[in-house]
Amino acid sequence: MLLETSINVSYGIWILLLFSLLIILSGIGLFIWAYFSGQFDDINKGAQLPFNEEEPAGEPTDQIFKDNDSKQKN
Amino acid sequence: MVKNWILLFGIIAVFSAAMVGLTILPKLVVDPRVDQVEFSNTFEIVQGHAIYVREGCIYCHSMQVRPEGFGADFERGWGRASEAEDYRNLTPHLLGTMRTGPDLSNIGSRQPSVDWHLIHLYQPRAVSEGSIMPPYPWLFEVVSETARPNREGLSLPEEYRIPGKKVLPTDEARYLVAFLLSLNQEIPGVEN
Amino acid sequence: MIGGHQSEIDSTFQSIRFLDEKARYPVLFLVVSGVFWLLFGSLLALMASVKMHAPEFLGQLSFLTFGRVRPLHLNTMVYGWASMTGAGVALWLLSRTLRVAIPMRPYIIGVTALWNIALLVGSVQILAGFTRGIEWLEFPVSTMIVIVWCILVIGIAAMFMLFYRNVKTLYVSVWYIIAAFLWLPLLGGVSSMPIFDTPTVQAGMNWWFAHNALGLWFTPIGLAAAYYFIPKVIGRPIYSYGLSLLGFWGLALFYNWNGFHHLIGSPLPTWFVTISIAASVMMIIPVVVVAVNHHMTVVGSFSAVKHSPTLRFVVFAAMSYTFVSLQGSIQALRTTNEIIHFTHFVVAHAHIGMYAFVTMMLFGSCYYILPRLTNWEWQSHKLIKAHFWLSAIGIILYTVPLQVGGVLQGLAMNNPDIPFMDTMNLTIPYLIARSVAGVLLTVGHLIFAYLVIRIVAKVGLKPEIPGVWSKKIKEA
Repeated sequence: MLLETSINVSYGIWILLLFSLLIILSGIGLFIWAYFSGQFDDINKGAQLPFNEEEPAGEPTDQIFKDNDSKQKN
Repeated sequence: MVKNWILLFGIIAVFSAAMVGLTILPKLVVDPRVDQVEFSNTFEIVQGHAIYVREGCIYCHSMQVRPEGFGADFERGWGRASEAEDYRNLTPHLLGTMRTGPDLSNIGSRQPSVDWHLIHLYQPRAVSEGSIMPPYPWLFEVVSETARPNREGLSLPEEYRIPGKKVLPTDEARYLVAFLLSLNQEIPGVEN
Repeated sequence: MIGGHQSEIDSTFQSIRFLDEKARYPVLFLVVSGVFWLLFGSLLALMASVKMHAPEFLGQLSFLTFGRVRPLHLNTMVYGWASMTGAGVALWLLSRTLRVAIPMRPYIIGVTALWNIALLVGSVQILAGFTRGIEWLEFPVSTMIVIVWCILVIGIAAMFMLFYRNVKTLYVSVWYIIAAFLWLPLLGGVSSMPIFDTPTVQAGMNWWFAHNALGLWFTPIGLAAAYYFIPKVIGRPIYSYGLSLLGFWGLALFYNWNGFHHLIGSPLPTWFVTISIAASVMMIIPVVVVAVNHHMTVVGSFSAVKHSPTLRFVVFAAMSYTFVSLQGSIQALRTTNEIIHFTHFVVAHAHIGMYAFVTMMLFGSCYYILPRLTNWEWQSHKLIKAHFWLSAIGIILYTVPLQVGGVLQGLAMNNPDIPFMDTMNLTIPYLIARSVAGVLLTVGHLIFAYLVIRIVAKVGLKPEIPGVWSKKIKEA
């Protein structure tokens, strides 16, 4: 009843279908581009980004309860 | 740099898809239907709606009856399932998400008494024992018993009466009640 | 392997101390403003909570009626505390992960000041009754546009950082934050347009916006913080970087469509609602991906959680995110929604999202960021621990009873033999429990505010060497 009095069903479905097709196809397209341009070659290298020479991986930071609990008594 | 733009494009594309799907499409579907209807909204109803919004009634009262068989809204006598035309095209919308108090979609039919509503707004516990609804005394004025002899004060129960005074509804209270009484699914106040 | 990848970061030019130096004033201003609105919002929350079981409390004052205090509580917490502190944390994270100093610093400080003024004006407007009347969008459109514009300017700074970065690869936190800074201005812009002028369509826009404000603004910032702080504090890279990207695109694809699960049973066309229910269930994918990733990173390092204030909050928040999201997927199902819709269950659910996840994540981030920005130490470790336990116990005491009460309320409401008044009466003990929990949370917030004031004003104990710096940096 609702759809009859406004836009018809098939019209809305075509809009949805076209949009979803467009999005799915561009998604697949970008995935293919990413794969062949080597975006996935070394997928885990990004994981090292929070670390550098100043604060290297393997060294915990912010362990303030450990260092100071014995000293600080307030 | 092309990677930046692909990332930004992807982020905006997924957003736009859902934006069209959840805001523009419903507008295309529902608006033409509501636009067909002529709503006879009086001045009092429009003002009352604004006061309903201002006092935040929506945070405890929903205004949407769920279809029969989904919850017990119908069995509680709150009315039939709500339709898009029931809302008199008054914005902001008042569908609500909370039922600390009962649903008000059909309150005008369930409780048509103006006096009951006025007392209830002035002091909910005067007519509804145990209610946790806030009182709205600023929609009323308390005047001396002898003032304005042609107007009768609210008939409050003994414990809520102020000696030598009477309580008169302001225009705002009357507008709000007019709006509440307009919430009636049987006489929708609609001219096709 | 580690050495090879580090070569792409030139840390002699972009040392973390240099970056933090540049980040100091804009980020501190955002965080301190956020903390102010946290306290203001807590006061409103307590007021609203008490009014739920003592309706005459402050009942004679029009500007403090429940229907005005409650929306203002939500708006100050969302657009004040969480958005401001979140924007500050996001800027700092971008500066760290992109190795570039925060640009446009005077503009950021300027718009933060403007943002505070807009919140102040908006607060007066809501209390005076000039509300827009749409949940999550109670600030009048003009005020809201100012706030959105402020976030947009900060977002432009974020885009500059993206394009002028000093690293080649983007860390996953950057994906989330860049997306958040694009999504919120879009959300705010679309929701402020005057095209939603019929009630049901506006209701759709309302819940599309409200759910996405959480899903596309706070959630990405919260997850970005988790993806940075968990590896950083433990000192171990994230378990699987590939999984984290799957989680990002899963969230971007599905969260967008979730909003209409707030409208199950409403007069909106059912097929829109069904799309949202499907998308809500699909959210299980990105949530489980994130949960597995975080769990596998933390597992075996629980002593780090014990010794780090940041990680305590962040791990609590990350666990809450998994819990609240899975709960949300279940809530969206029609059979569940039939019971819990229109009850206090949803209020508790929202608080697990905005408090146990977002707010705890921001607390954790602040405990990491502020000592590094001020070169000062936290006044008292005992108070930090007290804050953690008050917040953690407070939010559990808030949500568990209220969700139990909400289910009972919903079951009673769906039983037409029970008078409506009883569905309300049975919730009263749970509402009182919420007020008690609210007091605990507020005390925690006061402690947090005290600690923030002490560290920002650099008063109290002067540390010999800021304890947050690792040994190597102390010597440098």
